[in-house]
Amino acid sequence: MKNLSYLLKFGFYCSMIFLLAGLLKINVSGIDFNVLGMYILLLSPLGFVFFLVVFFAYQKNIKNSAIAFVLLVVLLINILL
Amino acid sequence: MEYLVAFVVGIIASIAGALLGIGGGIIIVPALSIMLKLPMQNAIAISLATIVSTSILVTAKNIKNNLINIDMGLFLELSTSVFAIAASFIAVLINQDILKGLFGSFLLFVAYFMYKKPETEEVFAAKEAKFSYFDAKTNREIYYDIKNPKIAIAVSSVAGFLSGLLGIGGGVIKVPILNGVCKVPMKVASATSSMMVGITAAASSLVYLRHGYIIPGLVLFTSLGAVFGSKIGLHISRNAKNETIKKVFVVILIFTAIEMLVKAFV
Repeated sequence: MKNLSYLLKFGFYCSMIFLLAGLLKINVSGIDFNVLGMYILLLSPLGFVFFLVVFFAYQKNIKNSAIAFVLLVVLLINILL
Repeated sequence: MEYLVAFVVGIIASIAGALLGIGGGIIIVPALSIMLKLPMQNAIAISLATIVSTSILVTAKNIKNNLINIDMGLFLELSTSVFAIAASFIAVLINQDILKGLFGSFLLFVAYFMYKKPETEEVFAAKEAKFSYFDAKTNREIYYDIKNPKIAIAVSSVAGFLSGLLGIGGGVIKVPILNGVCKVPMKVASATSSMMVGITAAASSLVYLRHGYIIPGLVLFTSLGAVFGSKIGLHISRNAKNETIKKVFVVILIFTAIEMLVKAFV
């Protein structure tokens, strides 16, 4: 679980760096850093939920893993809609 | 200039969060709407993205301290997310004057609730209780059970709906209910709410992002402001009198609510 803490912080600071790159209009192979930064920031909580699905499955806590999985599906449907 | 305003708004929202235990939404939305004259949908979208940022940082810290009740958070988050997503689809279609009116009314409710806030109640269960956490302040393991889960689901759903519609986190509704009605210790209620708020806000933000309402530059500066603000807020909270700050804040909220209501209906 502690590794998840570092992973969350890493995602946050990555997104901030990409947003800054987007603000400064840095151009690398035509990548829109604004969009990339926003998606990394907003998809981090989904990554968190995905981690929980795997974590609880590994711990054989099937009930929690199933709840996390359903939540992940709801969030993914929202992205695809 | 607008980035500087966003940065300062992020700092103030985060300081208020650290001092008064509220999310940033009720400050960021009116501040961006009034000071930068942004349309309500843009202000709500930026507020939600900033809430995701602060939630990530707070959750990262609370996971380390083992304060989050993930079982409860996941269970409640299911209904919260569904309602938040539905509300954000509604919000992008609503006239912004109606949103201003709704937000103004909500601010008045928060101001009243903050003024009349009941004393927090800590009822700890016996060692047979299902959940526990280590309280560093008292240096002992605290045991607790969750009472009235149905009420918690209903309240979380309402908080999710308001989050998607108005760009607030919803912690101001969830935390007192989890603590007062469900008898979850204050620290756990607050930490679990912070985690849930991030997931809810991310779900709604994606709808706003697709509709082009998020301005990435402003999100960057409000988020960075929030990072600095949380450190300043923690420092101030050690020295300042919370009651005085609370009263000043209630007055500010009432004035902001009146201004938003006037703009909505006049």
